Amino acid sequence: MKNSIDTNLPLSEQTYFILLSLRASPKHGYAIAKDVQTLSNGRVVLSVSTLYTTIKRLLDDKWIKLIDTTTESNRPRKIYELTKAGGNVLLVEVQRLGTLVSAARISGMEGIL
Amino acid sequence: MNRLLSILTVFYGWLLSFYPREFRDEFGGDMLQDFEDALKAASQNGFYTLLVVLLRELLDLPLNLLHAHLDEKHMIGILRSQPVQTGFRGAIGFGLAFAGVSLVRVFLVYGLTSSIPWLSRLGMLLFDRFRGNNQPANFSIEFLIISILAAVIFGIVFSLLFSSRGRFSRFMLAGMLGWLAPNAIGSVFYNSISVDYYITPMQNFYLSISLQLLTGAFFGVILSVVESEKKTPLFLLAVITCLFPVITYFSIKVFYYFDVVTTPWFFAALMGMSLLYFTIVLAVALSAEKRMLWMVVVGALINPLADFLPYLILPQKIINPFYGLGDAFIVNNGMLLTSIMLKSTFQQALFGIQLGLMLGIVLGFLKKGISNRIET
Repeated sequence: MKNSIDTNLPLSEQTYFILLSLRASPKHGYAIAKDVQTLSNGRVVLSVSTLYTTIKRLLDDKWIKLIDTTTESNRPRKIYELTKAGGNVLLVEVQRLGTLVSAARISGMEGIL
Repeated sequence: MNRLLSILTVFYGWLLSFYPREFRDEFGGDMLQDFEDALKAASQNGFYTLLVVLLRELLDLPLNLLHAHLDEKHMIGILRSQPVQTGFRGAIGFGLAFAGVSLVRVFLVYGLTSSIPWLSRLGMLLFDRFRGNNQPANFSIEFLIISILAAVIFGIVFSLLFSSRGRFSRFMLAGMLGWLAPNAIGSVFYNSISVDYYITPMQNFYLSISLQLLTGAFFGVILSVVESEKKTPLFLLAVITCLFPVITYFSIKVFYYFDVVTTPWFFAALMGMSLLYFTIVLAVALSAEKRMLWMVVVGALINPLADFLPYLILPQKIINPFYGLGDAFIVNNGMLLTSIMLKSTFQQALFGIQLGLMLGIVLGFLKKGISNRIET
């Protein structure tokens, strides 16, 4: 499992924030896009096409799964949830990023971190 | 504003119809609704924000559309696969390396050597020194300098494009040696004495093919050596790069001294030497990793083909640097020189791309096989 995760790292920013957003709670596409924008302080803004291209890849990789369909404004919306595999990937990526930050701290960049 | 939003939503819905059916069925409804919601939210912040959101959506769509279609045909998986990735890297790496070497060689041969008097004089001196009766040795100091410079450039470009994890020097050294060895052997084969004077044109053809196979084997062994974690393969490559040209030089001189050159045994000895070198190159690849033998075999097979294939596809006047020039041409003609330089570069880049692509694909398959074996 560790090997297959390693080959997918580092995650793209889009993937990282989508997984992070779904870790908090299951969401539909539009809610994910808004949450990603908030989590990244407005730096990552997903277009609709990019969002669903990424969602499809994450579904194919079984990092997220479809759990429900809700209806808003008389239109159905699909709700996605983070899977255990997706959670593991996110965890390993966070640990990897943590190591990078620690290295920067050790090398004397504490002041700007 | 609402009317504009409706028109834009309808337009986006029409654009979504270009997605593959499966993708559209699964995500089309959500995408359209998300687009409508995004436009509504943006319109509340003014026309400028709406325009920015709209542009972002329209600019992102074509690439994602292409992605969805490639994914539908499983092309993304193929493009992301290790063989294709290493194939592309190989094509770019070898293409650029060969183009760079060609540029420098042509520039040095026709530019620098004619403009540096002491270099020309030194060349003439060595030419006279090594020339004997019936053995017009074409030893050239310019050629030696150019070959070494070309090898350095090949090594640098190769390592810049291939090396990783701080293994720059290993990649550079392997690239240099792998490029220099076959060039030096070929040069010594033909220039120690006038080999083609003593063998028939048909024998000359077979000899040149065997040298091309050997050159390809060396290109294959470069990738075998750099992929290995062991020190021995690189060491062996360095040893044979130094030894083979020297052994070849003295062997041919001995053949000349004992008058073997005038007998049919001379051709047999040259072919035997070429075969022996090929076998040793195989052994170097074997010392890196058993499977890497295939790199040498593929390199040897592709090298003569890569030289020949562009001539089947493209017209001579595009790729042959000396097309229409005849036997004699004026090297001081700047336009002509530039044309030769560009065509040589293009020809060599094409050659490198083919060679690198094939070697890269095979390397990718071998690496994939090795990593699968490690996982199991």
